[in-house]
Amino acid sequence: MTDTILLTVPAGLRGAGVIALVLGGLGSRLDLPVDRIDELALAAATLAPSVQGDALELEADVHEDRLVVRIGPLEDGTTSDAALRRVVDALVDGVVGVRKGDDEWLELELIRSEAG
Amino acid sequence: MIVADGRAHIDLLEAYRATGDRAARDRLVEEMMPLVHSLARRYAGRGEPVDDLVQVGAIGLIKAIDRFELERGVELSTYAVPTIVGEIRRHFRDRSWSVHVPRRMKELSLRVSRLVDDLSADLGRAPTVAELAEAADVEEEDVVEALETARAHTPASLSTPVDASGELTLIDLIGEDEAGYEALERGSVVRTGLEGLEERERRIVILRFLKGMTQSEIATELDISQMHVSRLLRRALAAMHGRIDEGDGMP
Repeated sequence: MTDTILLTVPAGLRGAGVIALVLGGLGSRLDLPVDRIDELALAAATLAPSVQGDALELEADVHEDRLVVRIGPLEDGTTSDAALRRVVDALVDGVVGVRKGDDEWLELELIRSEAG
Repeated sequence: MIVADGRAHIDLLEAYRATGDRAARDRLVEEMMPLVHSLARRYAGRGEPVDDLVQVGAIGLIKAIDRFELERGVELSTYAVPTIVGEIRRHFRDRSWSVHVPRRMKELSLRVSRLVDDLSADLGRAPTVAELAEAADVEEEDVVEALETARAHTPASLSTPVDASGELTLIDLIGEDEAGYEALERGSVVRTGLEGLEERERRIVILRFLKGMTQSEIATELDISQMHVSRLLRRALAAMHGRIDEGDGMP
């Protein structure tokens, strides 16, 4: 069974702190090592300045073997920004650009490996 | 018997290395504790109890003893001073916070940060929240909060001196002769972002994103905590963001 968590926070430092706490809790449920959880939170924090407007929305799907996090709505062109994608790519197991209506979002995936 | 000279230190160290005799190392630590006390007193009156500084200095001493190579041709005490001072300075660094944090959470955060390093060494990978909670004897929610609190520390600069003279910095420990450093930098998609960073931040970003080292590996290489690597990366990425936005989208 997949749980989905929806979260809307201010697009700033306070919001990033809340997101890190939430992702920490979700990563804990999957028994992920803390450095991988930290890098997922770092990826989210890296995207935060690219969010449109004053609010950052986060959707997290908690599967048995992976955590999928969508972040948006992002400024136009963010998902095709090769430099930003390269950085975020290095922090998580998968990055995919998705569209919700007219808005760009990025989907980040963290997979639980055998080693944790 | 009181060990009075470097030769006796070496004898104890050789006994410890040859037989794994912990008593020999304990004796060596005991004999060298006056050095730790002396160095700790230099940092008295800066808001931390001297007893605490002696304790963390002793950790530095043990690290120095474990790492000292007999063929170095220097006195053990000479080798130990920068390690002891580095540990004391790390203690001060870990005690500085950029936001108000309740004392209980500060203490737990510091304890969890150290447990991350200890368990990483034991397990060969970073621990999970559950493993940290068990080791710290607290709830998992407390560990999650403590980890986030740890990131609220004021990050120390990689140029923070780590030796008694103040001339050796963390960035020196990285080494100037990074293999392929320039080659990695050339053509890198993050080049534009790197250009605006200070040298110390550039290097840690290169180790993580271009050399592909994990935070734990970087922490081991630089002899700093994984949490500190995390904080430095966070700061560097925040600084890079605007410049990446203005970059030319290299391949």
